[in-house]
Amino acid sequence: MLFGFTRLEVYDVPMRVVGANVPYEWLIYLIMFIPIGAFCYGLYTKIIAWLQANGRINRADKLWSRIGSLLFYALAQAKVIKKPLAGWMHFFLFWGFFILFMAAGIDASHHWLGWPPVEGNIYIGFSWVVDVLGFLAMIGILVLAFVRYVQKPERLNDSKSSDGWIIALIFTILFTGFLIEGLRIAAQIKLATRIDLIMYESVASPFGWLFAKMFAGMSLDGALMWHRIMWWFHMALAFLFIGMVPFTKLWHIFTSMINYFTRDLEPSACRMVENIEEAETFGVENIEDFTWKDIIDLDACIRCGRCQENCPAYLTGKDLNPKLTLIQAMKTHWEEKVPYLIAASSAGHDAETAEMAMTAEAEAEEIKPVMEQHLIYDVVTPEVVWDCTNCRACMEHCPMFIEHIPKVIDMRRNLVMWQGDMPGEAQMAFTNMERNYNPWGVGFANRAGWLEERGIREMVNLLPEDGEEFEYLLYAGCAVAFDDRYKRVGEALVKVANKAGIKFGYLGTEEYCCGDSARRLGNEYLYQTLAASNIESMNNYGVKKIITVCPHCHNCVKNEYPQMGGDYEVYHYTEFLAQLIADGKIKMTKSLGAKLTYHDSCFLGRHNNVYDEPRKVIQATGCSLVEIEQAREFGFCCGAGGGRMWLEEDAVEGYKRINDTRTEQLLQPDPELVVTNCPFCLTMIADGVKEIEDASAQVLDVAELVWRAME
Amino acid sequence: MKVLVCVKQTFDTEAKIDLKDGKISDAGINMIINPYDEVAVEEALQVKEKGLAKEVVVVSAGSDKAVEAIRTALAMGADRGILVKQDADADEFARAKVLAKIISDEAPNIVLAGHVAADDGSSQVPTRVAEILGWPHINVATTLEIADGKATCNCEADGGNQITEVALPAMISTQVSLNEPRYPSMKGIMQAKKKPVDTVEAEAVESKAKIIEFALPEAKAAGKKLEGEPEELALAIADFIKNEAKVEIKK
Repeated sequence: MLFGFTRLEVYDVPMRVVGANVPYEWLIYLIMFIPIGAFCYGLYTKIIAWLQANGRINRADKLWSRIGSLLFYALAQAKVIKKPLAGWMHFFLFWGFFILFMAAGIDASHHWLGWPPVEGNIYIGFSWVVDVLGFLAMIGILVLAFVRYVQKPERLNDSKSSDGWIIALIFTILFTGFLIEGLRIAAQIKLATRIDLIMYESVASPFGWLFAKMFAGMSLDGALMWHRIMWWFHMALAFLFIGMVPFTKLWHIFTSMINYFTRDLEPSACRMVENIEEAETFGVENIEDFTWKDIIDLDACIRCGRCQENCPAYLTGKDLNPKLTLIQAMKTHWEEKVPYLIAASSAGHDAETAEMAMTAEAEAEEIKPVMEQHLIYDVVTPEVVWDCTNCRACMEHCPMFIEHIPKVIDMRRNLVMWQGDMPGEAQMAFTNMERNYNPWGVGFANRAGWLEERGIREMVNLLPEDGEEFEYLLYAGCAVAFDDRYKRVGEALVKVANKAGIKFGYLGTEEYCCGDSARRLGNEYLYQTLAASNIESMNNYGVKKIITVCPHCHNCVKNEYPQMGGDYEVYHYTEFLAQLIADGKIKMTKSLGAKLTYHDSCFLGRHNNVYDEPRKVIQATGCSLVEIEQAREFGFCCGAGGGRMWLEEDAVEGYKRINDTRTEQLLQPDPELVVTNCPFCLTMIADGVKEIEDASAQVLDVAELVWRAME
Repeated sequence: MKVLVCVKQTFDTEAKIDLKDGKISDAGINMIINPYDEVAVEEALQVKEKGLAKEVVVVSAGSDKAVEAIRTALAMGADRGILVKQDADADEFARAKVLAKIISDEAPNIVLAGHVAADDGSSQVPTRVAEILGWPHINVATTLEIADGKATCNCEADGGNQITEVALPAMISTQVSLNEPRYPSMKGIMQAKKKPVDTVEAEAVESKAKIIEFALPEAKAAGKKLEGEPEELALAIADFIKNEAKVEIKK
């Protein structure tokens, strides 16, 4: 057998002998160690690199959820297929490759483990699955090539030559696989004494059978010879593929699995900084200060651009492009820097390696620019860091669960708390929150003044003064207390609840800003101070259930206060109203009948997945809701999230500001009303409407709409 | 060179002022560093960052609580602080006396202070200190340049701009347009905790002014809304200016 080979035959039962007709076939089991070795070496270097990350994070909890996540998002490609055409094609490619790889493994196992060959109907079924999926994979890669090179969506604006030849490699591996199969079947047809002895292959390998027909004119010897040549060629390419995985974009096959397993399973929240009083540094100043998860995120980015095509900053011409100027910029920097980090970290171990490090240091002389590059100032740039509105579109649409926002916030934390470098408006907002516990900077002593001003003092149980029993605490937030326009929304909500027989508890001057803007602008210390005060006040009054008005407060109190021991049942008022309507406690007295569009705020929508309740409430008022294209998960930010409410936004030449862009989308169906659920969105969109000369649509909050229908 | 900055702790500018038993009630009031003095601190730090000075010392005369204002300045980047404990009722004369004493002990090359305090708005202390020390004084400075033992400032003058040059040591009181004060970073706040603040008792100085009574300004009357044709409105407004607001018309 060493020099001979198994002859190809027509077998008595449907089956296939692995390596038949291929001389020296056994060599493949030796050669195999070259790509496996390359793969292991690549994996090893990647792991060593990941170990250079200093930040800490725990992603080893909830094991079963993590396993479930891995299986769901890898096997069902649940995120990938959200982009239908490219997604489904990738689904085919994934399953085709997965099954072909398994099939090749089973073939190899015959050699290594001496398993008996698969025979009869099992062979036919097994072969059919592999054949069909392999063909679908080939269709998949062709369509993906079509998308990249013919359709050319804007999201794929950074095509590299490697993208092209990896597509070519995958296609060639699949195509040569079918050629081999076709040649083998063509030879078997010629070998068969009767055609019906081999007819089972037309069922077992429907596409292989089609390829075999192509070779019908070829002689038996010709088919056998080409079969051998193609077999070796196919194997060489397949091995090249395996060996290349850690060194090319193919690496995403593994990083995706890591990311599906280690993704953030908690509700949307900023990462907590524990023991901030004792911290020695703040945020991320150097790339190695990130956690290993953040670094693997960089490896996981496959440049699909789904973040980019949904990013409000990018779409309005800002410097931030979550794909290119954030993740890919950091990835390039990381790859340049990590060899020096490894050299430096091995220095302390012993005298011998210290000497090596000396050499490395001398070498480092030449590459000083890389080591001296400042992550925030030179690589990402402060403009990019401040451009982000934390709208979560990138994280929502990323098929890899890359966590963009935590990275941005970590860099903001460094800028604010360590460098002391921030836009003047942010500084103003911080000072206001520090001194008067609201970002507007209005005197805190007047926080409950809106109740008198709007004539609803008697409808609210102002806890520091009235101290009555209550079921629901109204966490009204700063906008209701201090923004003249939004006071009317607070009034509407209180009146609706009052008619439904509910008297809210309210903290008044003991309610502070929730701290969301401070936290997302990077001032974690200020956030924790405010949050601690609120939690203390809420606990003092025995708060159990909270109704929030502003979605920023909502996300903060619901998802972030538990990090500091504030555990409450938190509902956004739209959820609360939807429940009251469902329970029949709210009776509309008239049907408003207005045509309106609805703006999904990012912090209620993508951050908290509340999409249906506000719509149900709107429909209950008898209005007709026209859904725009950029709704629900695809909702476009108003521009005020992530603390950007307090920062100036200048329109980039050739673009409109984020709020104006969003306003145009909302006005597109020519509605009478535009309805929001957030004070920031209300301000931004109302400003947007004012900018448009002949726009007459009125911008209202959901609560105001309900009160109009009840009045 | 050494820069000394005088700072005062004042009410937050948004604080709700209420009277209780004839005095200003503490409830609802947060104390801050006088925003005008914050500008003086920032300027001192910029002088140091330009390499013109080696040390920035912050001095405040007031109650124990005033140490918070000093800490704010230290968190911004000043090097050390001195709290001169003095009675809250001390007037501008008494304040200037004790500050002048500290300044002559410390012997800085330049003293910076906000030109006015946000609470009483008396705008006297820097000028008085300069007078007591016999130093030159530039008031309401909007720029500051230091070179060759001299300080040159642009400053606001009635209806114009005045450029003044003085020999050091000098007292310079700053206008808010001079700079944008920095926000203290956490690094600054942490370092500030380790910076020295000396507390000294003020020498006994009798105030020359006595507070007789605190009173709140009269509540503003509600605005008036006029409606009608432009011609009528113009007449009504003119009548209002002349007869109700009694604006003096110079001829």
